[in-house]
Amino acid sequence: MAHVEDSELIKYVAGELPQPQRARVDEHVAACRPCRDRQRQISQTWRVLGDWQVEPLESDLADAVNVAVRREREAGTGQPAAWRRASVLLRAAAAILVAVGIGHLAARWTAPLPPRPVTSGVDLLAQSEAADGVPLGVLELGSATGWAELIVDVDNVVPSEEEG
Amino acid sequence: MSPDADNDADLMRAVAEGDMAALGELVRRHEKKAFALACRLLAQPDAAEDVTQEAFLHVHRAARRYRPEARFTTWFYRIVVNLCLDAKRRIKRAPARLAVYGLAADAQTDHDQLEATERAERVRQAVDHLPERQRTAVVLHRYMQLSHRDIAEVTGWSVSAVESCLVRAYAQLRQELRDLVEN
Repeated sequence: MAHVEDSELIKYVAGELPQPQRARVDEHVAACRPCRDRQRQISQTWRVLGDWQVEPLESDLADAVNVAVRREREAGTGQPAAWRRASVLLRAAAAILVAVGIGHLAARWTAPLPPRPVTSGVDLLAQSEAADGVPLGVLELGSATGWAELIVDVDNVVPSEEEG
Repeated sequence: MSPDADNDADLMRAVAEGDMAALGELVRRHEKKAFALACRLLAQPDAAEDVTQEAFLHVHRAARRYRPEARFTTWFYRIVVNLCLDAKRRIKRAPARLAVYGLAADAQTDHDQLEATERAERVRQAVDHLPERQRTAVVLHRYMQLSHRDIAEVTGWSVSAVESCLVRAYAQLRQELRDLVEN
């Protein structure tokens, strides 16, 4: 005699078997002690599990969900994460393009300053942005800082009127 | 499809069009079962409430992608189960706060109620001791009263995998709750 599988007994206890199948199990367990014992154990386990009841939720969830949805809409976070990232990247790209465009237009509209004639190596150093605020004596050749190596092409220095 | 299922599909269509009253109606219909499912999977009522709320937010976000070929409850319970599994990994071994048990229907005295609470706690622990897949299968089967096929749809497992999980789970529960089962 083929016994009833445990999975079928579980369905039987849970009331999931259609009537013809249920009748077949009924007939078998009536005649088969081991299957009857297993069916009884599963039934008792099923019953004991029912002792664990859970208190229903007390708070108003519909209201809380409503508030949360509204907050998401206001924050613009109701979109999927991928869309949010793409949106951020597009905005950043647009900002960069605008900045470059403004910079380009500003360069075209602004007249370049005429270059100040270089009259001596010391004069060049004086023009150096990095030399601002540093006493010129420090920057001269042979000074203690050793910083005063000239980077100007001395052949093209325009002589001053004094030097002739 | 049952009238309720038809209505759920109609409500989802309305939610997809931004109808908040429809979302509210879906919450009222399904919050009790969703919370009970989350409570049993997490054993933490506070976390279960957060998960339940988050599940309905997911419903709202995904409303436009929802296809009514899938039953709403199957789709929704899958969301709840997945959120619970994520939350469970975050909660890990935090002590379970389980003061929230329903009153026993047949409790006549305070002593009866105390006994009922102790039984509930024993059952809760036994279910919590199950491996994750078995616990999920048992909660969906015994407490959400889903069929093996429905459980397979919610979890994405095969029907035979569901049956195998349930057989092992009920056997372990019978073992762990032997004194309660035999009495």
